[in-house]
Amino acid sequence: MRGSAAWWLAWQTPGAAAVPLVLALTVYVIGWRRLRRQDAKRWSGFRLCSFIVGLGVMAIAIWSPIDVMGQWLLSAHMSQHLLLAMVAPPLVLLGNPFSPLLAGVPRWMSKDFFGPILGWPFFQHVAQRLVHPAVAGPLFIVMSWGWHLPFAYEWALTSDAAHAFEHACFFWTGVCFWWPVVQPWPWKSIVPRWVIVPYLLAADVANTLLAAIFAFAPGVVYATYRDTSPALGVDALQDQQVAAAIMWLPGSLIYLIPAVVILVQALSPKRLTKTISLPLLQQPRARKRWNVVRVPLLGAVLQNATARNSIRWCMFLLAALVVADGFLGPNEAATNLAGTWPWTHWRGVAAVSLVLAGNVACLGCPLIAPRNLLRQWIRPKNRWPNWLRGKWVVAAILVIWLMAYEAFGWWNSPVMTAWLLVGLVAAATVVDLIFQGSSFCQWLCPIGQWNMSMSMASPIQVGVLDPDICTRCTTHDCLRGGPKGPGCGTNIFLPRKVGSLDCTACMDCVTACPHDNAGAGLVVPFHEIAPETVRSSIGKWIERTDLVALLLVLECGAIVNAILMTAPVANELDTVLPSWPRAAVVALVTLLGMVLCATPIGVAAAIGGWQRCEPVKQRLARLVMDLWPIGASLWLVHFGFHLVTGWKSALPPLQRAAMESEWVDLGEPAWAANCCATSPDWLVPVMLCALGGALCISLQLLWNRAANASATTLLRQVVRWCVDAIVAILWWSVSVWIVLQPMQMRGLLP
Amino acid sequence: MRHQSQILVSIVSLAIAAAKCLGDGGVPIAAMDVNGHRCTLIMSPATPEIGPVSFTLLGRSDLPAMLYLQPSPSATPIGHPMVTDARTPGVHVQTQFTDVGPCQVWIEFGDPSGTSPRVELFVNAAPPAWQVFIPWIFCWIPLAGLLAVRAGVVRSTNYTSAMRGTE
Repeated sequence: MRGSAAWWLAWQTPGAAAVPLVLALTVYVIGWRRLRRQDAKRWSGFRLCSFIVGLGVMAIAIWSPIDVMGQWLLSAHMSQHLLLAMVAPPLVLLGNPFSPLLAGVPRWMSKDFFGPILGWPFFQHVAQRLVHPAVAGPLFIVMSWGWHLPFAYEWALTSDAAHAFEHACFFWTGVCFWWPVVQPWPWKSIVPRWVIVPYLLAADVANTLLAAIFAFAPGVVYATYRDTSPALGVDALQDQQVAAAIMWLPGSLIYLIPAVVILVQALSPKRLTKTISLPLLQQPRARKRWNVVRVPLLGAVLQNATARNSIRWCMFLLAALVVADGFLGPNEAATNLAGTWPWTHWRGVAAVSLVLAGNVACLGCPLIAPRNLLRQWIRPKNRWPNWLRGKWVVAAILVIWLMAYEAFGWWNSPVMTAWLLVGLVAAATVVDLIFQGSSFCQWLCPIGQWNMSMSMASPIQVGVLDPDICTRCTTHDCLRGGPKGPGCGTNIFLPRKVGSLDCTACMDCVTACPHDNAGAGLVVPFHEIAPETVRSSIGKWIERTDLVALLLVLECGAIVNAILMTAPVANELDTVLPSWPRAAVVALVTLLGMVLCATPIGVAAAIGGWQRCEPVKQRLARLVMDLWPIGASLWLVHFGFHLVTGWKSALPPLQRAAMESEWVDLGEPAWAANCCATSPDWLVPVMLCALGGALCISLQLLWNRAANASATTLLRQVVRWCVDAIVAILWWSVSVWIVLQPMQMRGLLP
Repeated sequence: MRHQSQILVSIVSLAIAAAKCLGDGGVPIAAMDVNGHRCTLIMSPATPEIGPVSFTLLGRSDLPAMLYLQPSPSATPIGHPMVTDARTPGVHVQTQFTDVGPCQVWIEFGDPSGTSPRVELFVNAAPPAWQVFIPWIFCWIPLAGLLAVRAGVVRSTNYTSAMRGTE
């Protein structure tokens, strides 16, 4: 076979399967390190190595040439099965994976999510039965024999899904089978240890019989190999006999060695068993909570006002470059910085970073850089008028923004984009030089409201490090400002801050705090949606109709903004309304679309009012708040799609602009990157997972809300939840439909 | 009880890992003898449908091979040179089925002789996107199930605790 040596060294590129393996390994290592600090003897390096090697064996089975070869050679496929069912499971179990995996996930997850599920008696009952030798042994043997029946085996060879299912069956029945043999801590077997010896021998006999069938079969058992093996220069029958030998000899050894070890242990004098230490969940975790200000370098940068301003000025320079190119460059979106950077790159990066790292978009906002500079000389004396304190104005601005974006095709007009940026900087500067604090950010900025709302999904938010220190604080510099710097521009008193709404993450409070007790720590994503308590600056959101209206605009805007770029809707608009004034019609369609999206919520709230469970206004507010995860996920998916498909389009416009400025070091623009973009295979599954995860969160929030409603029966709770869930599923269905449609590649050449 | 909880969390984590093992798919569609060597042509995906398709020829990667596709008897055959790939044995070609209906596939080594055995396929329409992505569309259901179990357990625990409190 020509080039066989090179082939044997070739490995497949790890795909989606790498994610759970790497995740499991990461969580295990984190948990193992934590547990090792408490009990180094129990959590030895052997446990870690065993788990890592177990996962490594799985990786070899999945990505090594064995996988490719298994399609064409039975011996290779048999080796793969051996690794997945008889080598990887015992190694993974020798790593005692339960405690490290539980200790490695965030505490809220182990306590609030896994805790109740794993404590479910039915679940425990089923799990105990599954790993009982009387069940696990027969299950393993039946699975092994069943998958080697010709029709099942051939099915696995021709179907990806069946092959994946086959592997999962082998691994999981393997885990169940090896469980009573390895007895991973802290599990205690309910059968005598000696029972494991006949248990292993029985499995060995079954394995030997199967191997013998292959070894002594007069012909080739699987038709596929009859054609493929000879093409590789291997006789199909010989290959089958090699497969049988692999199954017989190494397979038998894997069963017999532990059987002998257990037998010797059983015949030895009994050793005194040590008392088991307290279970993991009862052990106190005295570790410090992670906080971003404690991260070397990054923490120092974020705590320093000058460094933060430098970031804003860097962003301002980039924005100035965009504006200059927008006015002076070609008025074609794909070739202009103003047509690509703000709409394809900034939006996508902002959405992803808002969800992953908190409100960094406001933290590095270029709009307030000139304001901060000018405030050194101009000190505003006025307070924002009380009659304008509310989100109504900015909600209206957002509606107009979304309508104008579609009507005038902002993404397609570098000049308009440049004017928009200039207008935003001018408005932020003028407003904040007239009024105190961050009035523009809090009451007028549509981008800021989107940033704050999106960062509700983030696991990182600004807050206090130690609440006890705040109880002793008398100056409240985080709110009022002090010798170290100004206080919060949006009037948030940090100890009473809940969530990210109205927080621009400017970090002024971090600098101002005289006790160095402010930072940005970990929180549960969307944790702020459920509580209806009073929060600083916001008050009670359930009573803030303006805030609810703003969120509703963002939710409906997410759907309309995304749906209008799908090819079927865009084409329909082009064909149905060719002679009408396009801008007016598209603006009207956008508005009607948003009203249409809001209608199910109104209907659900009205049904709630009809049931007399709660006032319609409150019901509406709760529903809007609980559905925000779906809205946020759709924004993320939409902008993330543009970022992934168009990220290469950032450089060519810059190269063009540089060439026009007679700066040739960046080279000729490679325009091929700005057209004909295709989405990678993984993108749609990832987008669907994001939407599905958001739906789950919304359904959970809706259920909690229904269950916590006072004075209602279970039936009423279920009815209420069903009505709300229909709205959630309706929005999710529309979002999924959007994701599955061909998209307009805005900002790219056709 | 808590030990069992720890055991079960590991099951959940590792379940995700193992269920992701991927296979390759593909089916042999023709076998032939070329100069005494056995050659097999494998097509992936196993069911021909509109869209990308890959062919692998095992057996004679030393000879220059062309794969010909003829969408209909009257259409001109389109030849695709088969090339080696370091990751897998044999020679390969990735192409597309563009038309629904019968299609002929055959391999020519060296100069076309026109006598190579031809494979008759029927190309089906591509499934709609929702069918292709259906596992991903409903990937949230297991998570929703876990959340439902959690909600049920929390509710029953609270109920039990409340009842105990009133006794």
